[in-house]
Order: sequence, then C-alpha cells, then structure tokens
Amino acid sequence: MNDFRERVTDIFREVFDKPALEIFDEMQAKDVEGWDSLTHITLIMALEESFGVKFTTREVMGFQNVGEMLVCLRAKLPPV
Amino acid sequence: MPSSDPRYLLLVALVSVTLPLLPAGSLRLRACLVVGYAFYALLGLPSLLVLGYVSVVSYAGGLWLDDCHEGGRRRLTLLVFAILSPLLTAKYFKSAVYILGMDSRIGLDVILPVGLSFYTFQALGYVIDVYVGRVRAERRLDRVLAFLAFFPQLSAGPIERANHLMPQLERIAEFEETRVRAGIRLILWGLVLKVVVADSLAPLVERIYSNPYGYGPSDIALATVYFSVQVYADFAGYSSIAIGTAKLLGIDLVPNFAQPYLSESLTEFWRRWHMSLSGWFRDYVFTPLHFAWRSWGSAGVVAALVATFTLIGIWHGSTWQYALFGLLHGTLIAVGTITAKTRAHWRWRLGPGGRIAGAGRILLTFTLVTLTFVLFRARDVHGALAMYGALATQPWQVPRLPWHWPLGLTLLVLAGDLIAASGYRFTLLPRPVRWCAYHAGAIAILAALFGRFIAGAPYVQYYIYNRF
Repeated sequence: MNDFRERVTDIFREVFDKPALEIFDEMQAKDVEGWDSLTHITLIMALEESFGVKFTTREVMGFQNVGEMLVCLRAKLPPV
Repeated sequence: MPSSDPRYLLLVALVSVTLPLLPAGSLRLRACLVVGYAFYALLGLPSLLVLGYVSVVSYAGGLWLDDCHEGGRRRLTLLVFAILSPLLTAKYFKSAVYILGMDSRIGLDVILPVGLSFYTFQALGYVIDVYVGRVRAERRLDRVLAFLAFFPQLSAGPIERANHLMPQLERIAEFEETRVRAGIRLILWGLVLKVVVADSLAPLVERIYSNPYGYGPSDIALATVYFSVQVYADFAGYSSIAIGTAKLLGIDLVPNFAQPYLSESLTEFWRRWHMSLSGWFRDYVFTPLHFAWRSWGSAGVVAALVATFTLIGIWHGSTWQYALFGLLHGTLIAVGTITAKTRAHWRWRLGPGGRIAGAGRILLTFTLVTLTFVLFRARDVHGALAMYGALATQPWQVPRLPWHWPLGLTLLVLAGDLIAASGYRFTLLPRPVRWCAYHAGAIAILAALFGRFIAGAPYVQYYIYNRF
C-alpha cells in the first residue's frame, strides 16, 4: 500500500513540478499551485499510463479529492 | 422586477426580518420557497410552470439516477434533454427554424422566462452531480424546489452547486451579525455599480450602438470601452446584490466576479469573469471533452477549448454574433494555452519585466476583451463588422461622446477593484471613513434615481444578463 502511495506521490510531484509535494486524502485542486483543469487531465493521464489502467468520464468527474481518486485507482489494480 | 428596484429591496427587508420569526429548519426553508415562487409568479404563469417543471424533473431525475448504480448513462442523457428542453425551445427554436430554412410561421413567438438559463444550468449540474456521485440524490422535494428557486439568485445566478447551496438552505435565516453587515455592504456596493455606474453609461453606449454607421472610430472606441465598464458594473452589481441578499438570510453564495479587468491573460480573465458560469462549463463541458479527447494531445486541448467557449458564446443567445464571440475567445485561449510554455521560456530568458510588464499584459487583455465586446454588444454581425471596419480604416477625430464623468465612473470601478485585489479589508478602515463611504454611496444612488425620475427616463433598468 505504501509503495502504491509513493508511486502516486512521485507522479504528483512530476506533474506539478514540485519535488517536495506530499499528498493527503482531503487534498483538492485548490491546495496545489498549478492544479487547474488542464493539469488535472495531465495528472489523470499520467496515473493511467503509470498504472496501466483507464478511468471513465464518470469517475473523473466524480473525484472530489485525492483520497477518492486513490480509492478508484486502487480498485482498478489487481489485489496485492 | 430587477433587484435595483426599491420594491425588491423592500421585499428583501421584509423577508429577512420575518423569516427568523419562524421556527428554524424546514418551515423557514418552505417559507423561502414560497417567496421564491411568489417572486417568480410576478413574471406570469407560464414562467412559473417552467420553473416547476424543471424542478420536479430534476428531483425525480435525481432519484431515478440514484437507483441505478451501474450504467445510467441513457437515463442521464434523457434527463439532460428533459431539463434542457424548455431552454432550447425558448431560446433556440426560432433560430433553428430560420437556419434550417423552414417556414417562418412555424417559429412560435416564445418568450424567454427570466432566469431560465441560469436555473436550468443549476438543475443540470445537480443531476450530473448525482450521476457522477458528487452528491446523493435529495429525497425531499421541498429542498430541490428551494435550491432551484432561491429568490436572491433566481433571475441571473450566481449558478450554484447542490453540494454548496442545498446544505445551507436547511439553516436559512440564522442570524449572524457579521454576515448581515457584510450583506448590507455588498447590496450597497452592488447598487452603486448598477444604478450609478451601469445605468448612467447605458444611454451613451446605446446612442452609438443603435447607429453603428453614424459615428467615427473615436466614438465607437469610447462607447465600446464604456460598454466594457457598463456590462461589468451591471452584472457584478447584480451579483453583489444577489450575494448580499443571500447573506442577509444567512446563506453564502459563490462569488461571481474577482476583478476580471485586472487579469493578465484571457485564461485568467475567464477564471475571474462570471465565475459561476465559467466554472460550470469547466466542470461539466470542458473536463469531459478534454478527457474524452486526451489521446489527441494538443489537438484535444484545442478542440475542447474551442468547443467549450463556442458553447459559452451560444449560451448568451442564438445569434451568430454570440457564437463568433465564443469562437473568438476559444481560439485566442487555445493559442494562449499551446504557446504558454514557449512564452514562459521567453519570459524567463528576458526577465520578469516587473510591474510595467504586468500592467502592459493587463492593458492588452482588457483591449482584447473590449474589442470582442463589439461583437457581443452590436445588434448583429453586420453592425459589428461595420464598427470594426470604422475602427481600422477611418480617421480618428475628437469624440462627440462626453468623457469627463464616464471617466470618473470608470475610475470609481477601478478603485474598487484595486482595493479588493490588494486584499485590504474595508472593515479595517476607521469608522468615520466607512460611514462617509456608506453615506456617499447612498446619496449617489438616490441622486442617480432622482435624476432619472426628473428627466422622465426609466429610473430602474433591467440587467443585461436578464436577457440571457
């Protein structure tokens, strides 16, 4: 699980170009400078590519914070 | 009845005093709902029926969507059409008949109910939020009805989201002194913007735009700058009164403007102009489109931006000028987006440029927006093209329009925006200064109303955005 979170954190850091960024479940776009509607899709695409999964439009529109995004992503991965 | 009408202000005073007398909770919510429907009934029975139809469909649709955990896409599509159908009929049916070259007698003379496009979008946002799981479907009909008929924002927004407004309606009319004070200040500032600034500039703009071939470029340029100030003061004034009225009832509405004319780019402008609409289009149109076209790379971003802004243009009306207005903004923002990295690189190499460069970018953005407002304000595309032609080719002469007092009004709006943008809180000013400002504002509003009354002009004018 920690490995999963570290991978996601690395992707966030790369997308937002912030090497010290730490993610938390309640984190929203307003908490990260540069997280706008364009970088949001860049982030989704980076997660899709890195984990080899596909999100649906419904899922993407429903994310209200990082926690919900991670739960959805985790559910798409094979059980550890 | 526009919210700058003294009768509206009396209604607000009456409601904000009587609602807290009722027991807290559902009874107040229902009383507020009755006020909303009574307020809307003044527009006539058909308008009221449309509001009721959209509300009931949204309520039932929310429950219908909540029932299906998988799929549900067909249900959502059906609901979107059901909710959109009154708006499409009232706003676009005539144009569709005309464009398709059908018999013009088919085009019914449909009147667009005030606020229809605003509460329709609010209703669409609700059912989409239920579909994507952002909110649970509301089980109580009165809550959905009250959410879509909250009278301060019924006629022209701000377009609210279910997860923001609905929970607040349950604790409506809970008295909190600081919020009430803030509400009164917002209403006063909104009235200054609407009655003193917007309604004073309106006749000057109308004089030029009603006769696009009769004036030279200097008058056209001046009238267009006045229109930029007018439309902002008009809609930001309306929004300020709406947000202030809601605060009197203990409700915080979303902000609609954040000093848009101080933006350094068009992208930033749209983040600060009519924010509740641009945010709606970002979440419910741009994001799904961009996501669907993500594999196209930059072309996907461009296509999503152009499509979204063209739809924002068409939201304003079914004429070509609004579609072109949106298309133009979408194209300029798309160019700005795909060149952002290159421009950032050059800015890094050349140095930030300091405040002068920042002021230059603000001026450039304001000029671009103002130039596109020619399309927005002109009676039709031909009128707009004639004005663009005059601006580009005819010799500039001394304008016939007055400029002293309009400049004063413009500086007043600018000063308000600069103070707000600096983060300085008005409440930190010494009490005598604050009260001088309140009195000055009230006197200016009364003087403007009285002046129009004496001149025989309509002393209350509808908001520009009431037409959309």
